[in-house]
Amino acid sequence: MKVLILKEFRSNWRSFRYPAFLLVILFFALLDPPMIAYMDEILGYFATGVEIAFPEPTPADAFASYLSDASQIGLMVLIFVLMGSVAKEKETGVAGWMLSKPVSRWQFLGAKYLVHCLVIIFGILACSVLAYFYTMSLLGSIPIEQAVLGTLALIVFALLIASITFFFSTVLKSPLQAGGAAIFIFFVSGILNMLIANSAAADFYPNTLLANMLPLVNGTAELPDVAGPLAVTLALSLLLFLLSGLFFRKIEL
Amino acid sequence: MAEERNKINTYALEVKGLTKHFANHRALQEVDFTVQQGNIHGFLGPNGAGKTTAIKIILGLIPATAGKVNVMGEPLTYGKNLRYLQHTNYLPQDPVFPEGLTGKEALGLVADIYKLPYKASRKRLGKLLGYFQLEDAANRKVGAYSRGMQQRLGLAAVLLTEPKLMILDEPVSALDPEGRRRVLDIISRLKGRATVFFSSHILADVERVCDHVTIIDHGRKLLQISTGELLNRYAMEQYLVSVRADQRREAAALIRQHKAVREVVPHLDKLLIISEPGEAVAMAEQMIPLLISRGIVVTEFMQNRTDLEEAFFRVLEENHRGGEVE
Repeated sequence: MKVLILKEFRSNWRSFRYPAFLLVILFFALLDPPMIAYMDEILGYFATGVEIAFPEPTPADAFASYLSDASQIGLMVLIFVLMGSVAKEKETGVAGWMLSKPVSRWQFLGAKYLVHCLVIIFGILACSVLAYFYTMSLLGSIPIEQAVLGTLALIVFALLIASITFFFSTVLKSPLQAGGAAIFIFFVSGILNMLIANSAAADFYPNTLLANMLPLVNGTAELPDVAGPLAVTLALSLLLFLLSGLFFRKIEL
Repeated sequence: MAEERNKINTYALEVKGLTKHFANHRALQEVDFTVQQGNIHGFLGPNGAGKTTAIKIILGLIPATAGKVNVMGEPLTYGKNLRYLQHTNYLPQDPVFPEGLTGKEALGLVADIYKLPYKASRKRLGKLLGYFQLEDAANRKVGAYSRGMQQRLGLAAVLLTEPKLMILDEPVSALDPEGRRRVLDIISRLKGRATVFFSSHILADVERVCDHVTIIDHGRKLLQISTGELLNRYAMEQYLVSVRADQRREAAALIRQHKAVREVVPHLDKLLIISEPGEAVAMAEQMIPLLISRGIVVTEFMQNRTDLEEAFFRVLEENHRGGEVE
């Protein structure tokens, strides 16, 4: 298993998939705190003679802005990065080559999924640490537990998006089909979130995590407020991985 | 019972009634064959005959519609972990390797998957890279390799693990003559030490290294036979006869009437006689006395040894005619 994990990491790193995702998250971690901190001055350069009054930027706004951008553009990039994870190897024959060796189908999938999850968790975590200290240096500090909760919400939602993409990459024939299906679900889930935002279902709906990122960071929401969607999202991610494995057992290579 | 078990264990590969139907075509229909341990066994057939499908079933990559496969005594159960894969290694027709890895890393990956001892495997890996003239490209990404280099790397990956059973799908198709010679030399030297199941359509190569062949066409097995017997049965049924030029037409007509003769065709300044299967000896014995008795001057009568390629096409031709192959 260790061999497969190393192969997966090396392969995705060398083909610039993981760096692409991490660079996008890093971009927002480095861009959003100064953007929020200096918004007044930046707009002042472009809109001379016009007076625009902005509320005083807070550290929570800056950190939440980074999380928000990462949850949109960052997760779209994540879909592009992972859409070929299994589908491309099925298409090129690498999956068949690997599985003609003493490697079980569960090991093959498990190694991929595990490495994707670890890169998402530690990648986002590292960028959040950077964004946190950058925000602190520009605007002052926010309670660390609030930053951790906001980051946790983003990581768990990113794991769900990764699991959806991974599932489609396993069951569908081509990376493009897998990417298309995952993007469709990503947008539909967002639309559905607006429709059920005020119903009881929102207490368990994964997208509630995204809606609660700012409240978690500025302290108006706490862990119990997102415990339901956190648990459901993690369970859904695990279920999608198990379903991927069950489908993959029967896929002809 | 023990005798039966011993018999089974002498087979590296035993395939019975193997059938595979896809949605719109039948790829394999009740194919039976066995491969003895230590043999180099050619698996022949035209493109689309079902060779790769059979190999994929044996490796557990696709399920069979019906039939049984035993590999080194272990039955194949699709979807289950196959212990025999620890002792098997496969070279696909178009070798592929995980993206982004260098040649050296790809071989290292194979060594680690098979849990080979680190030091010994790295030493062997270096030797194989040298043997296949890939030393200079060892640290380049495999994606930048030519097809021939990828095939050589694929062969190195197979040989690295010293498997008991090697399944090679068209292993020399992308190699230059020198590369082919090297690979065929290696395969020849494996005889008795490992079992090689070798699919190819380059019949000269098969003839050179294989001791047995199985021929399939349109998903059906036509023949399983030793290479020597195949050549004897199908390739030595041709004779060349030289007669006086002015008697050639008369001689051809006379020969054509013989019941053991299938066909007579002019071949340079001689006549090429093709006998009916199994009638070669009778024909050879009777032909000269017959011609002489009719006053025809025979200046030369010789066997025209054909190669495996001709024998192969004869087998296919007989199958298309609906004749009995075996």
